[in-house]
Amino acid sequence: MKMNFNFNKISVIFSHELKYLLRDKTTLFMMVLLPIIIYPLISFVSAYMFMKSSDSVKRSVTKVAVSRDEKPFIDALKSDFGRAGIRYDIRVERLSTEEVQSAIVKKDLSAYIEIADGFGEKTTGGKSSEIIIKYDLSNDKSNFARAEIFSAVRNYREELVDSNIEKLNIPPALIYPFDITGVNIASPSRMGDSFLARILPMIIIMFATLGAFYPAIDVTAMEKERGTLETLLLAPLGALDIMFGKFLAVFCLTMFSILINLASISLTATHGFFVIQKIASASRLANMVNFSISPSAVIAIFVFMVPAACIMSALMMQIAIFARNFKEAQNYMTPVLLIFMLPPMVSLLPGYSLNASNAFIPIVNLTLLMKGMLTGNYQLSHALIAFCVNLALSVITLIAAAKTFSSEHVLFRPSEDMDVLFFWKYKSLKINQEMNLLKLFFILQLVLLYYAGSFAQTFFEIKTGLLITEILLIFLPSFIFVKLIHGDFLKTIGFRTIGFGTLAFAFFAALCGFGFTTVVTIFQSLFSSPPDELLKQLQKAITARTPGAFFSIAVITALLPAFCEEVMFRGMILTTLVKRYSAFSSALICGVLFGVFHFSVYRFLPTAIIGFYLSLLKISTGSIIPPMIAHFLNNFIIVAAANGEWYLSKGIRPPMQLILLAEGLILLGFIIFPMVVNSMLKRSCGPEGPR
Amino acid sequence: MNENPAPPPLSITGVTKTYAEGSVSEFAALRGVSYDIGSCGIYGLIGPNGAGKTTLLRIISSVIKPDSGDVLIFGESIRSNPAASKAKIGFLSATTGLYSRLSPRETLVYFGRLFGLENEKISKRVTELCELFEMGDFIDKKNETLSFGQRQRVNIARCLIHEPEIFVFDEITEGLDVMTSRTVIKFIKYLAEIKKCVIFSTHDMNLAERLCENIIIMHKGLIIEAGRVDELKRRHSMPASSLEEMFISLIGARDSYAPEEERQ
Repeated sequence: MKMNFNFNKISVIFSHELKYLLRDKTTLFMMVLLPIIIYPLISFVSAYMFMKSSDSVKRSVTKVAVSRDEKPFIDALKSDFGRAGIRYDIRVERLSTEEVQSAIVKKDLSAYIEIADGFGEKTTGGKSSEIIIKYDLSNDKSNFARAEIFSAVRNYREELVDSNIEKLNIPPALIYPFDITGVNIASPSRMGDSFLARILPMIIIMFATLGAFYPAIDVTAMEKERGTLETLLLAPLGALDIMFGKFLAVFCLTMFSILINLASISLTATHGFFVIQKIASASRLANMVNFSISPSAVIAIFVFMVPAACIMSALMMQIAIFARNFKEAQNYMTPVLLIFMLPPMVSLLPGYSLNASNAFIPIVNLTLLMKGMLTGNYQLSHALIAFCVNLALSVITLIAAAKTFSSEHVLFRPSEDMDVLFFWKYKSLKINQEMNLLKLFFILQLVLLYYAGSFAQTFFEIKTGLLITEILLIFLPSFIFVKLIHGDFLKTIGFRTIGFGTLAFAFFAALCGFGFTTVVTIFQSLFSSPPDELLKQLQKAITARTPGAFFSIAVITALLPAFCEEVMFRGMILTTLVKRYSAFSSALICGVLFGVFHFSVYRFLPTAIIGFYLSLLKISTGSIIPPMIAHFLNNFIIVAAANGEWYLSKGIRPPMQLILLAEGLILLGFIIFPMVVNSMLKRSCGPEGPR
Repeated sequence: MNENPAPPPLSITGVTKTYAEGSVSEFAALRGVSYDIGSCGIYGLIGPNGAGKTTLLRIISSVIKPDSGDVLIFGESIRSNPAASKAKIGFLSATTGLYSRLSPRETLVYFGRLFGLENEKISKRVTELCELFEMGDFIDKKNETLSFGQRQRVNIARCLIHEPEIFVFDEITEGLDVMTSRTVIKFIKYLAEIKKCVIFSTHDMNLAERLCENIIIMHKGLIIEAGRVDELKRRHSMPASSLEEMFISLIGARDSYAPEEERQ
């Protein structure tokens, strides 16, 4: 494919698509009318509902029964209710608890006040008495009455205290040694921020997705349905020109959609609620709805949405071009919509904000960044990481979309065509098809691991979570993939018995590898060290207090990964890689993927090195057992060392010679490791080839 | 380009095309097609379903690319100089559609721009084509409001906008009512009169016999016969019979001794 663009033709396509898309009523409605209407509507309706419910409680008559006719008390109650603007009906009646209950249910009563015998005489005579208030918390009306009665009763008690103080001539400071004044320092607008900050990023991304949805289908699948794609390809311009012209149009509409949504939200927030405030009689409501969004935050959000809009447009177009008509496109796009609409929901979680690790997850990082911008609570470095990650992804999605657009097979997909996704219907897969499937599968598995894995590890106990992750999320999908694509599982992953010499070599390689990665980790920590929090968590997870616990930890963090992760990386992935690339490149790619898979910036380099030499170990020995053994040893040493450190922290010191020996071995391993790698490389690509 | 006088309008050499390689639905649509058109005229492309007619016509028009082989259009290769070869081709198929939210005028202007014509040239062409196909009544209405016959006229005008030399029509009379079909046939004859090349595929043998001087017969991804209609009849010693009878005997004879094994 030639990569020279015809900018003139791109602009012809762009202006045509823009005009054509804007003539579509659905697009116009989704993009312009809906955002303009929906925010004011939602805010008015919710404010109205709120007002209605709080007013209705207030307006209806509060019915209180008092067990004894204590005139001064009832008068105080009446005057208190009157001051609060509550309509009341106070009667004197003696009721049992059951009677109170049924009366509240029947709405004959809101609350019941039981006054102890001789209340009047006792309270005025300086003796203690009692008032019991009976109410039903599950009933709004009763709950409301309770609050008002409590405050009235407290007021009455204070009145009595004050009059006693006066009578006995006691200085008031003796009774009230200090005053309590509560000051709510949260400004109304800040309160609004925190509510808005959680909901707004989700809404913006949702509407941006919807904004891209119809245009993306219209410029791709609809072109096929109308029968105009053919005529477009007849013109002297490349598939890339067509794709970029269309992409720019969809992208602009998406950005336009974001702009309209932002404008509508901020106008509603600053002016719309102002109107409600005027209508609202309750001052409490006015405090709650006083939101504001600063213009600078709006502009910043708009800028940061640029790569997101790019990713959405490119990805949606890439998927929709596979479809032959609108209906098919809608089906294909549903998962894409979910990808864009579910992750932003993390912004709803209170207290979850942008940090150094989630800044690397596209879309999610944008949501959290927007949340941070609205509350003024984010770090510039994280914002930059988030921006760059999304920018990089947008470039990748664009290139991928361009590649898809240059595929005739996609553009002219016959009705009886088997999609590559239905790979089990293929007689035999070509290597590039196998590679594409593997890429897709790896990405899906990463996404699955990230979300389901972290869920499993937080929802369950960490050990159970790891167990679930290793077996259900790493081993099982790989097993299914290998079964479907290659058939024979054990043969494909290279499960072959090995001789004693190879076994010894695996041990040796693992020890040298451990030495090398340890030195690399130490070296890396000179430049950037993981946060202490992370280290502590890791340490805690793999530290055992009893031999039994040590055994189970060793199984879960060493034996299980050695099996499951090797099946995935050295079994499933490497098997396909070596068909396409040289032994060295395959091992390198597999290593990098292994590093990525650990989802940590700090662990990337060491794990990638481990992945690299484990891959070479498999290629050079032709069996998956040596890398499994080496993987187990590597993890086991780490677990054992971590436990050793725990003993150290408890003050139990091993002999100095042992420490020196270990350090010496690590250094020796570091030095020998390159030679080990070299020998494996020679065995993999040597004249005899792999065994 | 070398200075050979007047390269032939169309020259197809060793074109192959396989769809969905590696899948169950793998299908060799063209298995090495070579053919030269020396002089302009009307060429009819006939063959049973799946013979590769549409694939061949799409490759000639550069809508799809061949796996191997090349096509030269007035000496311009579809591989090395697709822009030049595309400018000489006007293509229309039964599945060709129109942008429903555009008017015929906007459609013509859009394609004129895609073919890189100057604005004045475009408006001149639009006026000419509007007259030629009597589109004055509906030139500024939306395509979606037009009748089927009107749309077909817009489609034909669309493939004429850049004044191509060779016209490639893929089953365009199929499924048309008598009146519309007549418009199309009149148009094909008109093109021949103004000395343009027309290659069209059809299942209608009578139409092919009536309209074409030359016939190309395809079967299972190969051209099995080609030449003037009377010449072909003479060659197969069926001078009195119709093109349809000859076609059936030709295809029937091939299928009887080459049964299913070729389908693989």
